[in-house]
Amino acid sequence: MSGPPIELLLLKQVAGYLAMPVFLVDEDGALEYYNEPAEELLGQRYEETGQIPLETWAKIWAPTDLDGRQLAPDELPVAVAVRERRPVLGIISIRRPDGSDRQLTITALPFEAADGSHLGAFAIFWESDGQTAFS
Amino acid sequence: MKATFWGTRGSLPSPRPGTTRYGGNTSCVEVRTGDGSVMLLDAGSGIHRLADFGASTGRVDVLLTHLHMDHILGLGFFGALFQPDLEVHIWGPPSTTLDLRARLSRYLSPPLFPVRLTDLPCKLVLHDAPRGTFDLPSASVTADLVCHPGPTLGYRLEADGATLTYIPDHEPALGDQAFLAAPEWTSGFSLMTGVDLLIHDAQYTDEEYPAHVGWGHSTISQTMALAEAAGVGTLAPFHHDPSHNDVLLDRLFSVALEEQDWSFEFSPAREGTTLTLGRHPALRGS
Amino acid sequence: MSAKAVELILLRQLLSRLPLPATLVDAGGNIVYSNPASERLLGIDYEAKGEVPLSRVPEMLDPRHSDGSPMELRHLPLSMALHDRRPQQYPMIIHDRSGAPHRIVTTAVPLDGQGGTLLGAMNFFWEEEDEEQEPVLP
Repeated sequence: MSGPPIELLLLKQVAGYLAMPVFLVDEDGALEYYNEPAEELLGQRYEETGQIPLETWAKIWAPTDLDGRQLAPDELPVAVAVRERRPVLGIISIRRPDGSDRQLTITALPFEAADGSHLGAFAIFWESDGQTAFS
Repeated sequence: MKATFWGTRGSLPSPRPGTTRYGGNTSCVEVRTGDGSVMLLDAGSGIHRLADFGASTGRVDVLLTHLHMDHILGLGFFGALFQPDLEVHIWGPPSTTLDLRARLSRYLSPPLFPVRLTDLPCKLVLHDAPRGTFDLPSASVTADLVCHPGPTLGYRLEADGATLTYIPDHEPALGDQAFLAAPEWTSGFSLMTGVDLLIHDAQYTDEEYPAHVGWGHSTISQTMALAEAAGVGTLAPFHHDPSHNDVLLDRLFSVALEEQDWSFEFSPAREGTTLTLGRHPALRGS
Repeated sequence: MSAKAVELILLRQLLSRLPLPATLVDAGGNIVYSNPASERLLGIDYEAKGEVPLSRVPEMLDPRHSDGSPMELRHLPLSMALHDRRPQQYPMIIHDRSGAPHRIVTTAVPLDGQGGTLLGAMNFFWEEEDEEQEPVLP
């Protein structure tokens, strides 16, 4: 069967239906896709970014940790998930193209196909309200 | 209730000498109830063939399944939109972040189209179609999301004692390792169960499908199996592939019919034909 | 017969292929799907059980907080995602069919469709391998 892996097709299709922000990178960390709710939160439509390398897309949103330290692309949760092929949780701040800041709670998960092939990683994330974790 | 096919082709208008019987216009089905009410299912290029669009009732409803170009291509040229005394209600799926008006405006605005929604002379009302049942003046409509890239609805209409389900773009088998093993886990199934007439995507052959997985469409054989499992009265395969000419479609449908004894009537959608639905199962085609 | 929402259908098809344990709950609070990876971890054949109400999870998995204290149903991350409609990330302990404990981390998210319709909730969970593999960033 030619074409993209079925898992990628399913993820994109269901992400297109959900109100939950979803962000997908390929096995090199390059931006593969993000859905409309992610566009709202990130402040930029996917069509305006396209499939760009990790080093490029990481700069768009200037991510920092909670202490304000600039994060290197390979420190981002989704980059770690791709590289180390394990789930990663994180909270980061981003600066949207309009200059406003957002704090995001992220779960990044390695994305693997049923045949074991490594497809990359996807992140589900939401705006932190300081109460997302159980306390 | 009468269903007239004004556009039966999927993806791309494909008018040419070899497609005159099944037609080259893209998706558009006119549904007319006994009291003269008019509903349109999608607004592909076939919409331009409508001559009477509800002038007698003062209202026409357009139910859009989704906003892929082949299903809205004709909307800007729909004569009803330019009738000042006519109410035109357009129903369609919102996305999770944008309403129908915002999404439709991406097409019906410059540079893609010279006329904006706000410029249209008719009394235009846009509706984010709810998931569930809602009433039109002469029909009850049930809408639900189905499996297709981007927000896509299927519609079930009930009127004049008959039922019709329209799912022109649908890939219920996507990623399903046991298609139809569990009907409650089959996209669109509850919309089509026991319906008098099912108009359903049947774009590909089994040989073509592997190269088109994820494109959002069904094979003829998948659609036949779906119709059988759902216990429909009549199946109208729809959304014919633009590369399939009349001769090929005749052969494909003939082969599909011979696969087994099917419990439903079989009436492939052909442009310009009308199917009349009534209280009795028999379908009167013209 | 009412079919499942297409979002749940697509998720079920996706989750069935992922090696990461995952569970789907519908808006009514029933576990409608638990993928093979989840079944392997827990030793529970959800496919055979059919739909299971979330209220049965405490008796099935004996969920506990990281300190070992019992976790009430309403504090289950999936429960909170469903009822409070807020995502949850949480380390916890669950017990498999043989009673063996598993320290896991779970992310549970509400599944909201168009128009704010609540479709259910979903969680991914994985076993903690070691302390150093806790969240990368605070």
